[in-house]
Amino acid sequence: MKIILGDNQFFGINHYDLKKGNKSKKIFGNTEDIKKFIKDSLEIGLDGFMINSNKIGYELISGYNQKNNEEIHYSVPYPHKYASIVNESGMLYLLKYFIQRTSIFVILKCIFPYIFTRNLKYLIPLAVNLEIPKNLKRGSAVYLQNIITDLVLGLKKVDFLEEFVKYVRSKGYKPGLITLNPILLDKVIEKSEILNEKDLIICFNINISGFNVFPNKTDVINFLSKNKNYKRMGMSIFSSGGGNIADSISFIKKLELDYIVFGSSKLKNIRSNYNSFKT
Amino acid sequence: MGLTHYSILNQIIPEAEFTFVETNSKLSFLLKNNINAKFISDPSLINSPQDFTLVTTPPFVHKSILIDSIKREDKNIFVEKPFGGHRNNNFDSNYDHIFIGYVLRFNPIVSWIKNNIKKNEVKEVNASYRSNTIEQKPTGWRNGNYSGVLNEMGSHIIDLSNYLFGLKNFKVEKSDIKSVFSDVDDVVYSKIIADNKIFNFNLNWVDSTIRKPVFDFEVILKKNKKIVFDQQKMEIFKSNKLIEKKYTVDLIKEIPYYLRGVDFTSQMLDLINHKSNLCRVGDALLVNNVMYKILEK
Repeated sequence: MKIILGDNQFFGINHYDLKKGNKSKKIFGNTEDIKKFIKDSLEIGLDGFMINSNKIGYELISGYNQKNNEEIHYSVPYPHKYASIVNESGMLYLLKYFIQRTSIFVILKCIFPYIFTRNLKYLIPLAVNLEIPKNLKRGSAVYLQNIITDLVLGLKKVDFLEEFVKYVRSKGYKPGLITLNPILLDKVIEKSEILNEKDLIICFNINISGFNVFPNKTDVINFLSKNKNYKRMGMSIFSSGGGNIADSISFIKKLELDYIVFGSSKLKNIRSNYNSFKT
Repeated sequence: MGLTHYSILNQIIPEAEFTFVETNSKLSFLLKNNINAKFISDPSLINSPQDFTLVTTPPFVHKSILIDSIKREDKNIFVEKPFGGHRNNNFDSNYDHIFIGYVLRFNPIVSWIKNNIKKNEVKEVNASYRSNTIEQKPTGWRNGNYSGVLNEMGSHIIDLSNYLFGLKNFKVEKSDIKSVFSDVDDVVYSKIIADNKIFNFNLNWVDSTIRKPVFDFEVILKKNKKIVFDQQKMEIFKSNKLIEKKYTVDLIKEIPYYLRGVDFTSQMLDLINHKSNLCRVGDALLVNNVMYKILEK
């Protein structure tokens, strides 16, 4: 089971306690502070780190010298940016936003199939291209954020997910899907030859408390007991800070996970959790 | 557009058939091959009563769509908040099949407060809503009288204040309204008295320090007690000493499909099942009245 450093602490995200989140955001004032924390965490022994394509994440990766054995797990998009555009100027402006920032070559490649079919899946490269820094090393994982994956599951438009995965692979990256609905997503993956490959990673909540584990903890544990072709990453493994650490680790160690991702604003917590997982 | 509601209902109602009424031809052109539903531009083409109608348009057309839906005898009608905006103060509140989308009622912490705190214990409520929704001057209706932080965000806080603590017989004592980016209200402070209870509302949707919208309440109770809560945590104090706290992790809710929070799915489940916590017309009109009085003060 590989261990990946999460990024919530860098951006003030805490699903358990908003105030704790705000405190942790203040600790990481700039990209250099975050880089240093990542470096120190990787020196403890973590296998890599996860980071979102928000302004700071994009900048960080753009200037990052990745070592050969380090794994970068990069998630797209930064939903708030697009929500603001839609709030201020409407959905149609979003399309204009993508087109204005994309090369003619990519536009032509995407626009013609879109005009013929009016299937929005052909516009996925426009959005993904804007989110991935050129410096992100091939072989890294690129995930679709849960807000999009789960919306697509609700729309029942599997071809959107397939197009994302195909495009990410074509750029030389490993595809990933973050979801809060792992069992629904599994049903979709099992029926899709494009999705159901060894390089795919799906990332979802699992923890001893069952906090934000959907549809429920028992079903997700049962899902984890079955062998799958693709890889599985557990997130929110400490119930977003609301669970007992020792019990949480003991629970997670019994599960068939390929990866776990966790964060903390304190390096001593990263070290102690890492050591507990490795013993 | 209502994509969140559609996605949830599409997952939780097996074999449901959907019709989208989309009058924006460009948006309809872009989307209709991507959503497994019938798209029409003219609502009068729907002749038969619908099992569920969801009005998820901007608020300036809520009322006209609602009237057509009532005439068509649709069985359940869900209208997004703020139910036509602060100027919609007149509507028959006897309809028991119309529901308004005040989704924060379905937050697990809010449910706990509703079930454990009595309205008559409350002396003072200090509530705030902060977000970074607007970063530059908005265009279209979002820069007009149907928008602003009060209609779009504050309505949630006012509904929660009424739902949890009671706002009947209210009087607006004070209001302070500021425009920062938009031509309407971006920052609002208001003091309200209702049945001897004091309510202070602080609303700001141009706060660049906020990543995700947050609300918080401080509720001063009788007998030296105080409750502080937000969407993730609640704490009870007695004589300034913490005596109880609960997090959403303590109030786990199972839902069949998650999108944008437990609250949205719980709201749609309530709509298709018991209809026990959804906001109804009378309460939504009270919220509109409070907003009207704040803006006109």
